[in-house]
Amino acid sequence: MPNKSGDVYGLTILSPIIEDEKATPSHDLQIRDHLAKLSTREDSPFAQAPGTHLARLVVMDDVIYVGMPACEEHLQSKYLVFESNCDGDLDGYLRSLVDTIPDHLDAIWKHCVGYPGAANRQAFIDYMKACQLDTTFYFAAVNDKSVSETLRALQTQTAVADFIATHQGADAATLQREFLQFVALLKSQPPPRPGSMGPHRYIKTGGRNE
Amino acid sequence: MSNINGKVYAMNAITPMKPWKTWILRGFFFLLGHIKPLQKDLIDLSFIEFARWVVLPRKGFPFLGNSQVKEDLKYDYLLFFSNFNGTWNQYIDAFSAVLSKGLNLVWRWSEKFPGSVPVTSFKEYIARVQFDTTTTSPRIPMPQRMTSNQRTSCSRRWINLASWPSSAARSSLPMLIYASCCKSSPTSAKQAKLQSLDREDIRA
Repeated sequence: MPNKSGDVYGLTILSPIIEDEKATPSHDLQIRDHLAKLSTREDSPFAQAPGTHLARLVVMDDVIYVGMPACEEHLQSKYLVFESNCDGDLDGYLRSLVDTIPDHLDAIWKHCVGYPGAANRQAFIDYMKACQLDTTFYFAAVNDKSVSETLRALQTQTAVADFIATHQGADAATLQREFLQFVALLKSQPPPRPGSMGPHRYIKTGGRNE
Repeated sequence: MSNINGKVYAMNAITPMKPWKTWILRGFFFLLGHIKPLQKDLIDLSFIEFARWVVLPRKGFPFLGNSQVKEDLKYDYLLFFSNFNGTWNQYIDAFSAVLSKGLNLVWRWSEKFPGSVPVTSFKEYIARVQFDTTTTSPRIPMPQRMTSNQRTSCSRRWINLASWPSSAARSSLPMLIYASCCKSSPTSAKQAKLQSLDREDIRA
């Protein structure tokens, strides 16, 4: 099934944005404005919804004209592109979205044609499926690990690297004793919260090629 | 514009294709999906977290009625979405250096594709067909994987620990994960190219 790579599901949704000349600002600008204020860290709505590895939202204004001898053509609508890499099956993921972040979904998709609202769960799922595109080829380099397993592995990797760095030159007996303590401590720790381990990096606006 | 979140870059691109050519591309992707060894180069590019290609037929744009006007297009479109660690230039350079044949097989069916080598014209094309991400949300932090230099360095540091007689320590979870990080050293020419790109990454 091309939408899946191992246990990871690649969801691609294209939702037409409402064209309303009377709306000020236009609906696509309202989406952009809302998305610009959304957190992308621990308090991101997609960090709250279970099973999301990475998700993105894009306003696609038009197709791209690559120059002669190609024909120039344009879309009739602007589209909201939602692209998510998630665990499990599609229905379960959409249900979890509507159960955990209904207000966020409404705030984003209320600007799209035919959006029924998140209050009606089945109508929401049907709408998303109507807007879904089938992936032709999908590659996910997470070795079939779930989000929680990946978070735990990254926590372990970081902790082990720190342990190695801080124990250079220690004698064998000390090293062994402290390593066993370290392993016990690591096992007792809860997995990190989604979005909490990433480095802070301020977005540069000098162009897309940074 | 927020193509970047932490160390992850989210890239979107759309290219027009004549409809009859999309079937050739679909055939190629079918083979790529079913013959795993063909994916080796893609897997070797270890900074790629996710990549997907979507062939969007000219009559396949979602149409929901109401006030929406139906699309009337001459071309099918190839959508490409990728998440990777590092910068745009490093990514395109690596793609061009390591996957040039594969990229040509994917994009040669798109209008005006100049080929993935030389890299200058390839970059110009990608810059033209790329559109920017509005927001990217990570649930997992996606730190950069160990580069080959880091792997070598850690291997040296690990000698004392790995030679312990304690079976408890050897079988611990961190050891297993660490071992998986250090399991291989680059040997092929393509992997050597990747190694040199890793070094550039460290210097950056």
